[in-house]
Amino acid sequence: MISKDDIKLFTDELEELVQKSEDQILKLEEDPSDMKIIQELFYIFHSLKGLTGMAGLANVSKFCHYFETFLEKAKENKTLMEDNKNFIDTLFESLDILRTVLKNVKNGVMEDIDETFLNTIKDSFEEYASIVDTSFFNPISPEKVGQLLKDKKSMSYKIYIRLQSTCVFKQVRLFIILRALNKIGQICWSDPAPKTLEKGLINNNFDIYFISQKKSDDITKVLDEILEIDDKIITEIASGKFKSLIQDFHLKWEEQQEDIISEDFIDDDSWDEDIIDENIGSSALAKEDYSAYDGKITSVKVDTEIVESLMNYFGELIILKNQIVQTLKDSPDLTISRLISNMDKPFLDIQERLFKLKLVKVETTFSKYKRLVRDLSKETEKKIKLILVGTNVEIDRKILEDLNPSIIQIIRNAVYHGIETPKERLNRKKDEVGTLKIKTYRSAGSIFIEISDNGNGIDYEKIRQKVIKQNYCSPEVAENLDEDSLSQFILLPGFTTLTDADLLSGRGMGLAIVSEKIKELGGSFSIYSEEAVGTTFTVVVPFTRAILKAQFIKVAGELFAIPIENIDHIYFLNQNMIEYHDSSMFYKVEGKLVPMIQLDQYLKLTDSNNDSLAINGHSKIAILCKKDDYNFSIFVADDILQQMDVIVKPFKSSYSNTRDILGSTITTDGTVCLILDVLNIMSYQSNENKITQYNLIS
Amino acid sequence: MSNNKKRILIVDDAQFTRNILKNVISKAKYGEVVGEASNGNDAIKLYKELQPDLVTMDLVMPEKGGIETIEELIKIDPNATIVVVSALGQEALVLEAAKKGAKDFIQKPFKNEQILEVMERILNK
Repeated sequence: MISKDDIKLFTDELEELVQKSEDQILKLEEDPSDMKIIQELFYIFHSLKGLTGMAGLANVSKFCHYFETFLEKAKENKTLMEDNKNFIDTLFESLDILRTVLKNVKNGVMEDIDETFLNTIKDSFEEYASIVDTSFFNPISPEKVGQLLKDKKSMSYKIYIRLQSTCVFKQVRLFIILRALNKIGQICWSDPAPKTLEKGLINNNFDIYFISQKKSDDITKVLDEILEIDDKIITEIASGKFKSLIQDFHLKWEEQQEDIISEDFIDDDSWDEDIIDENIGSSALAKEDYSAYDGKITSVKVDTEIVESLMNYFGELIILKNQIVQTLKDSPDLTISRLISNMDKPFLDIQERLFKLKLVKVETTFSKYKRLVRDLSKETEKKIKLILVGTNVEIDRKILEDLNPSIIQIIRNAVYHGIETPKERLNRKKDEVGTLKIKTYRSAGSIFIEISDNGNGIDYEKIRQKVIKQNYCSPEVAENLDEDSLSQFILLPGFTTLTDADLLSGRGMGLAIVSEKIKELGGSFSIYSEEAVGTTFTVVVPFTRAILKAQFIKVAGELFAIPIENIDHIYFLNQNMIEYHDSSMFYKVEGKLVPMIQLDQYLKLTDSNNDSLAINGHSKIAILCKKDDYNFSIFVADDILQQMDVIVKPFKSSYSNTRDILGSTITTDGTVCLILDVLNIMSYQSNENKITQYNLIS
Repeated sequence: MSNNKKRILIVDDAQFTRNILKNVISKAKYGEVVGEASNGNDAIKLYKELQPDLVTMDLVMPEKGGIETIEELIKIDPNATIVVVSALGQEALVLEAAKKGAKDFIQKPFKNEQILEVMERILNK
């Protein structure tokens, strides 16, 4: 049996290979003429065959073998792919079989695929491939034989044929015979087996097992027209006996095939160089170029847990280093102080590289959305094109992982409710094909992911009606709500303008959960929409939670930190720049009024309600923080201290109800300091203001 | 057995081969050579004019090869009866020809009986 570690290895490899094949198939869809992709797919499935075989999933392995054969035929006969759409669909459907296996394996279930299912797949492959096929001898399956024999008018025969000894082109001769027979019936099997016969007989005689509605004499007449046949004997066989004969033949053939398949493994596994070379010669890949697989390892797979723990340990190392630095930097001993300053560079370098380890390009996950959109559009019978912009943007691996289900939910939303049917789109004088665009970019230390569609847009009136109907606020207030506020309602759990019949993509919970999850990550979520034009969902998440450049501040005597990337400017608090509106404080910055947040009051560190502007005789500090080009806030703190690179220890999700805190860090003297999540605080404040508006009135 | 002689078109770029075929066929009571072509284009032209019952086709010819010619003939007349006359070592080519619609084949050097067999089996439906 396989150990737990091995299962993990297997799962990882399986996943990688499955994803690789999907990428290749998507590429092939775009460029059907690229034979290199078929070759790559062939190699991937060859690996999959070996992998699943070793893991004990015999039928899955066989399936991969059939797929290999299918691809081989496709390689040889390009007309097979001319019906591109069907061909690609067949490839995807095959891949889905593997995805199901993968899903089960990830859930701890090593389930092989069903035998009957496997045979159905095999038939489909063969049926598809036999449409235009270089191998011309494709007998029907035993199941079909059974079906045909049910018809009373069908008779089953054994046809013995002996070719003239002078016959040289046996393959052609066979082709002509089979062609003639296929015109008047179905060929079920042969002795020797079809694949053997097709390659060229060793002897001159063979048997064909045949079903036809024609009588024996008619069959003779057909064969009479063919040259080089020395003798032919047609014997009718009872259908029962015929059926069991065919089944026996198939069984024997399968057994032989298994021996061939298992031969492949044994050689693949062998470490003996000689045997590997031999196998290469005998496998179908023999003619191909191996230079791409010359064994250079350019990347390694690393468990994300290892990366996380590395970062943690290194973080502690940095703290220790900083402590040493603090203690020794004032040392009169030049040697020591020089050594100390030399330590900085390697630490910084390692820090940078570890940092990079945590980062991945969004492409790794976003490219999978192509498949999702493709499947969803098929399902909903809509025409949708997915455009990905900015796939090179790098993001913390874990954040991307956590974000994935939310983005998928938004995409589903866009496909089900956003984009109209092709007919509706044409009526609106839009392009029949709807566009879904995912644009990723970095700004102000955060990652922005905009998911936009050019579809229906949000029907704000419908929302307004629902708000009134469900008594979220009074009708008068509802009338005056702006579109932004109305959008917020969409995020409430249970809120949906869909009728029961429409509820395809969920029970109206989707966006509420998305909103929550994104907040948990320390991000935010907003909607912008124009009716009949389209909708854009914007997800903002922190770039990373690992290492931060932080600005240390003092609030009510306590130490806090703010990520520097969120800070735009720091001022001494100037009374003259303060304005009051609606009992809220605003600060004048470059002609604009920016909302102020008194941190000591916000963090409930002081009982007093007075907005004191000075502490201990000197003015407080106004920190201008930026969320995006339109959202700014002034945070008032007592004092600013140093700026430093800090290792962030993020709070685990279960604690992240505290929306104000990004995580914690340890200072050089060992104090724990909380890092303020200014972006989140800003979001919360602005929503607070809006909700307060209608709460007060109702 | 039909009374009319079967009309045969011979296609081969070698005069020598065409002559042999002509001789053998003439000896058979039920076949006559109604046309000769030394290349694919002429073969197609003559086929359209003569509408023969059988065409013997050489595979390797200049300009237009036998396979291409067969393809075009089948397009013109899906029921065209074409027998390939091939040299040894051309199995792949002959298989291709058969797939493209050739009815049967004989190999050079052929015995006279083989030609007669062709007449009997293929033409005597």
